[in-house]
Amino acid sequence: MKIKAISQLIQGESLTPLKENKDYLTAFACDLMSDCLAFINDPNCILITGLVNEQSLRTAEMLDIDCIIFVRGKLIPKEIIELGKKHSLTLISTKLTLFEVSGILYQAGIRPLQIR
Amino acid sequence: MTVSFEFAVYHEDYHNAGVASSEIKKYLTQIGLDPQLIRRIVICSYEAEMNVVIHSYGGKMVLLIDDNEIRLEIADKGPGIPNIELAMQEGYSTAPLSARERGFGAGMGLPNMKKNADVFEIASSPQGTVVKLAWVII
Repeated sequence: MKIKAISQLIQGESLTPLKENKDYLTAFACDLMSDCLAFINDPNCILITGLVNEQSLRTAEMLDIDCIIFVRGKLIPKEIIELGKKHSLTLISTKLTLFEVSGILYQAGIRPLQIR
Repeated sequence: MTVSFEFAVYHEDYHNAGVASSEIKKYLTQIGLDPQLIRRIVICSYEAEMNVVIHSYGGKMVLLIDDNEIRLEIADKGPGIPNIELAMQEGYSTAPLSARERGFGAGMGLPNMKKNADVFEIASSPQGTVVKLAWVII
């Protein structure tokens, strides 16, 4: 699924340029970055999180993930957006909750990772 | 020929936590290492870096690269891990709230490193903890 369509479905606001041609098939919703490091095994996965700080971006960077959706309408500091741009990350913010975003994307065909 | 890099890591410096691992990733990508191997290395490196930031009085990370092997040695200045066996259990954590607020301290760090490294060794005393990791370059 293209990121523009995903962003529209979740009433997202793009904070960095979108990679319009890239297809995303899976997502992982989590506020625990250690769990992300332990379980995310697909670099084409979207990270959905309420954790807005350097660590969520660093975690994405280590895992080669290039798209993060920040939920619950968190204020995204300018430094985080700049760090995202520096690492070519697609950052999207939405007022919806983690549960709502996960439900909407699942319904639209985005699938969970097989973690075991 | 062995190439080495050293990075200082400071206690509770969350702002820069991950910068060393980011540099390591950049270098390993530049030398054209297999992306899957890079991923395993930097997962370990980032977990280790966060552990030093969260749990120690500060320390350093040394990356050594030769033709056949990559080694990463993380040494801190204490206070040490009282029970390594417990610390190796998934979910066991002594991390403070400041770490949990940043998405760490879930008790996955050391098990994650063991899972992603070809060689994992750990030794700890009140003077400090040393973690030695290695990966074979195929």
